[in-house]
Amino acid sequence: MDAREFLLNECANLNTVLEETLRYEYGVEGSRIFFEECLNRLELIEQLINAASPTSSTALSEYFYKLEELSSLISRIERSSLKEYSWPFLEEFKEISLSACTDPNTTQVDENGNPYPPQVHVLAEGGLSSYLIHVDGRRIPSKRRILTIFFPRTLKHYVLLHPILGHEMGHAIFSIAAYEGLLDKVVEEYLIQKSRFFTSESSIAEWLYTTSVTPKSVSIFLSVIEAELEIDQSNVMTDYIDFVAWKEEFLCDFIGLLMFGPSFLAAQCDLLYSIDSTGSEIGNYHPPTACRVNTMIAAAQILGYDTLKFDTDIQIAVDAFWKSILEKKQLDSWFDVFTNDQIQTTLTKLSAFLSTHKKALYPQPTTERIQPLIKQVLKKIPPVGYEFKLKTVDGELTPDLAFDYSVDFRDILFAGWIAASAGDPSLNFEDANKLCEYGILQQRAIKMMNAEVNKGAV
Amino acid sequence: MSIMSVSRPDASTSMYKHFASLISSYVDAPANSVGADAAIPIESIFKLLEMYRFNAFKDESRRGALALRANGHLSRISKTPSWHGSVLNALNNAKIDTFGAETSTEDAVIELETVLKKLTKNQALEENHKAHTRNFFVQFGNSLG
Repeated sequence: MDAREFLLNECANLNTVLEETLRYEYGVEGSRIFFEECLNRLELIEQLINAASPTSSTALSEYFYKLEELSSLISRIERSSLKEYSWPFLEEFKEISLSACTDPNTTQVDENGNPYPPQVHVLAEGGLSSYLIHVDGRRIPSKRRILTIFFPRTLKHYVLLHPILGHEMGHAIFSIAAYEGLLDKVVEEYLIQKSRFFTSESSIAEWLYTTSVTPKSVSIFLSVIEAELEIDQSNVMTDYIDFVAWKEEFLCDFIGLLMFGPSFLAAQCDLLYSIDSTGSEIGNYHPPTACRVNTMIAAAQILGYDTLKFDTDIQIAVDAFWKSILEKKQLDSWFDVFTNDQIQTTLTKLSAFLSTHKKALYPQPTTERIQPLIKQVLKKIPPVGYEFKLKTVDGELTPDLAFDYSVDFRDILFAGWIAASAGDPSLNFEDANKLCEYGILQQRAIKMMNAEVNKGAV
Repeated sequence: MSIMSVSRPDASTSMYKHFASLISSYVDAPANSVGADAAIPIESIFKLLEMYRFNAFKDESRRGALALRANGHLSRISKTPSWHGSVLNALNNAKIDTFGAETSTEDAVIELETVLKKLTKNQALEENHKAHTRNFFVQFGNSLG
């Protein structure tokens, strides 16, 4: 077989695999949308290969990668049928995310002229660092976008850590061309160009290598990459740091915080420092953990998350929660790469963007919303916004589901973090997670029931 | 280790050249532009125009927030040339040839996108829009080599 014949054979193989995916179930949304989308993509790639000359190595190499991408996507979707993730969290997450990651500019619209939201598939992956949202690139030939969301398999029920996906949603939003331009401008204009350290490549290198002020932990890391990779001040920006990626990481941290509130900050602190305990590792694509965490702590304080006042017995847990967060703040000002003014302006601009998308922006938390939920978790009751009461009907007591108020799952997560910080030995972190997951599950059930009731009323 | 090292030279120029040829053919045979076969080429070109309009060509697939090291190792970044250099040149050439240098990219793209949306619905096109679209995509395809 020559290369072209081989690729056509692979198209036939992939067609077989695609048909075999139909053996499994894919949750509420079923398999029709992804099957048709993938089949259309496959037929199109096959047409492209057929149209290419057998000697056109450039075209055949290009189509090889298109086929590889599609093959990987189909395999991910097939694995999503295992469903080893917290589906109540996922359904709530979709509610706050889909508007912002729907491309407003497209030829693919429904009968009312509205763009189709992306199709979402979810799967569990090994490893703590597997939190990820895989987004179709814009060069992927497609009609509709498909997102595949990865959760760590071992953290299936750890919903308090899942808000880190707010950061990943930032990347999904950024992958829309119209938003890339807009968001890039915000970060560049209000954060990067105003920073003391990031205005140019040379200023970034100087910030890293000014030995009189560089923290010892950072200097040690820099000496490691010098010894292992021959990276020093002269080539760090060309051969080691992708600063375009760094900017996107800062942006996505802001989006995660604005979408999830304090629970994002808590998840980020725990997860990032579990991987990089010094906070000083300089990544190719990620700024040092301590710079990111310090920036997010400052942002949370600017948003006033730490100023809520609660009843005395609850306030102890709240204070313990914020103490645990502030313990993650590196006190060396070298890690404070942005001023409060820069952070404040960036928050304002990004809040304005997110507020145009339904439910994307986390509403400013209030004591009235959060306190009852904390009390429920501390009593080992799943935190929800309703009370189960009895009422008298024809002289007999009967159950009365009083739907007092709808609870935002992000409030449940904030309350869960506070309760987990209370120091109650009978409520460990795993228990707090499970209670919150049950709370989100029950709230989800109430929402679905209310929707049915309302449908009936109409 | 994988059986061979693969770079990703996915500039997508061959695909875009093929799609450009299809779009220019749809202008004169709009009945062919409706339906599943045409939907992906039209949407793909539409997305390319969006990248051009907003100068938003990054199109990178980022690793997760916690994936601080590639495969757990320290490494240098790979220096691959940006994927879109030749595509952007071809878009600029086609735009200047079709609309003139004085027309903004925004105005040119909006006109082309309007045509693409109409093509998906088999709606009538204005003659000057037909001419612009035909010329733009012929020039774009030619510039891609």
